[in-house]
Amino acid sequence: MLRSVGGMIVAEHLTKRYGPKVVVDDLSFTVEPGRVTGFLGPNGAGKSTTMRMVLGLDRPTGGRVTVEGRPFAEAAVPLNTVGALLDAKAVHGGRTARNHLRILARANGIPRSRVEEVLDMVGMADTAKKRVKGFSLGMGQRLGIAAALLGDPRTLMFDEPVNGLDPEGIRWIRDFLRARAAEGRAVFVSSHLMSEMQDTADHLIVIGRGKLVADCSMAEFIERSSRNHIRVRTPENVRFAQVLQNTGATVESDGEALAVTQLPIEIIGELAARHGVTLHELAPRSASLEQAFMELTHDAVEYRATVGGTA
Amino acid sequence: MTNAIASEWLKIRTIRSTLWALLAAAALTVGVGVLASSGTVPGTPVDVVVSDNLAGIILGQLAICVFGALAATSEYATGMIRTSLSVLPVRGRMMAAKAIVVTAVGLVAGMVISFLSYGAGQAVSQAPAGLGEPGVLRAVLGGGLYLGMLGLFVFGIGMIVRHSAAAITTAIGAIMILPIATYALGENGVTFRKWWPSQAGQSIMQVSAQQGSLSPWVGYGVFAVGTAAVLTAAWLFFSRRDA
Repeated sequence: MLRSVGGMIVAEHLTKRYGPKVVVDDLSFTVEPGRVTGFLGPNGAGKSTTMRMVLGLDRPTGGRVTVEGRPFAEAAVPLNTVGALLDAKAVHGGRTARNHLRILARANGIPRSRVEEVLDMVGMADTAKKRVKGFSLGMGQRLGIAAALLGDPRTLMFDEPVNGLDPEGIRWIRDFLRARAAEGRAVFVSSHLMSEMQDTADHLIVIGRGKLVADCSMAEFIERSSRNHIRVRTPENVRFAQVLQNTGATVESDGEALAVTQLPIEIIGELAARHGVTLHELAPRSASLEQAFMELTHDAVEYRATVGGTA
Repeated sequence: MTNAIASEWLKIRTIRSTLWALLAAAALTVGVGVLASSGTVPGTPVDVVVSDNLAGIILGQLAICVFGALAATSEYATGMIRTSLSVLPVRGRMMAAKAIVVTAVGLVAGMVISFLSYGAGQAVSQAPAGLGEPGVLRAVLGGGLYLGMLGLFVFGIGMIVRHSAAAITTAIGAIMILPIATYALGENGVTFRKWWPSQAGQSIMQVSAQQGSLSPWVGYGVFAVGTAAVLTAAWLFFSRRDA
């Protein structure tokens, strides 16, 4: 079997079915070291299931996924291979943060001193004696990150790490992930919000309804999906739209203004002058990435067909 | 494997329910044993005396069921099992480590409880039954062996049903309710109780073989086979199911 040489996580035709429901559908992708790979998709798209299959928590119905060329269960030192934060609440509430980390460290033969190090790293040295039960969402998240760091892993895999965090926490995680990727690690991080990925990810894997929708660099994604247009407002909407269309431009009207694509803004201005059209507004507009993402996954969103019955 | 065992040992030590369950088992066993033994009159046969001294085990075993069940189900109740498996993804190793720790803790606790109960019982009883007399030491050791095996047995049930309440209920049903219910079956019930693993296992606590019971070691062997069967089923589930 051919293996991708540089890929830390390689999924090949990964499929997961629960009864008749296909949650992950023939998904193939590679997570490379040295960059942040954003794993993007609407809620219910199959991101968490995919991540669980990476760790062998869920068994694929079909296909396979390897970490550093072999199933994760065969990793020599698991915590050294993948540091994962899938569910920050997957912790026994009666234990203290320190004991929780000691248990995980011990399982991989990691010395106790490392527990203190990671507690310091996430700023939990003072709360380490508290029972996890009383932790806020943000604290729980930090504990999960500390656990993921225990083995100084070559791959980090985080499922929706900023969910429920305040802006400061979000920035902290973003900087943290970027720094780890800069060290040469593979960083695989999921989100259902494009806005969270925009400044974080170098590469994007977008899924909808378990299927791969896009696998490209962030720049490419922006390029491909940005629907930049020129907004033109004029009292002579209908006439000017005709003029523009005659030059080969694509024109859409929302009743108030025209959205023009495939024609430079300078030409639009000249055409207006030549045809004596009064312009009230002539401005470039760029669609947000969020919008592009929504459109991309639009067809794949699970609930769409059932809403209203007309879709 | 050493790392896995050390980790599981740390786990079982850092949940409060472990200590509470074992303390409850000790209190119930010794308490009932003292009550039963205080009425023992001089001249009572040795096998009856020891049986009175250890009478509390029948009640104390309920707390051992809680200990064994929680060793498995507390991870599922909290979702901790997914975190655990992502640092120890070889499932066979994890389950073996858990079973070893549960057995070790159960055996040590069981021995302490059994000897405490025997000692306290002897202290209040008016009929002595020295450890040197035939079968007495084996019976008292047997109390510990029985409780140790029971913890492992219920741990297996916990790994199968994965819910604390369901596991404890199933275990109590299997070791207490079901045998009592078979009294309605007459002769068939006698045979059932003789061979039912947990009942058979209790013969190891008898100084001499009782009417309708297997001999001590054969009975304990049957309990061991039953436990092995439960653990095998647990492994089949644990190795195949999504965590």
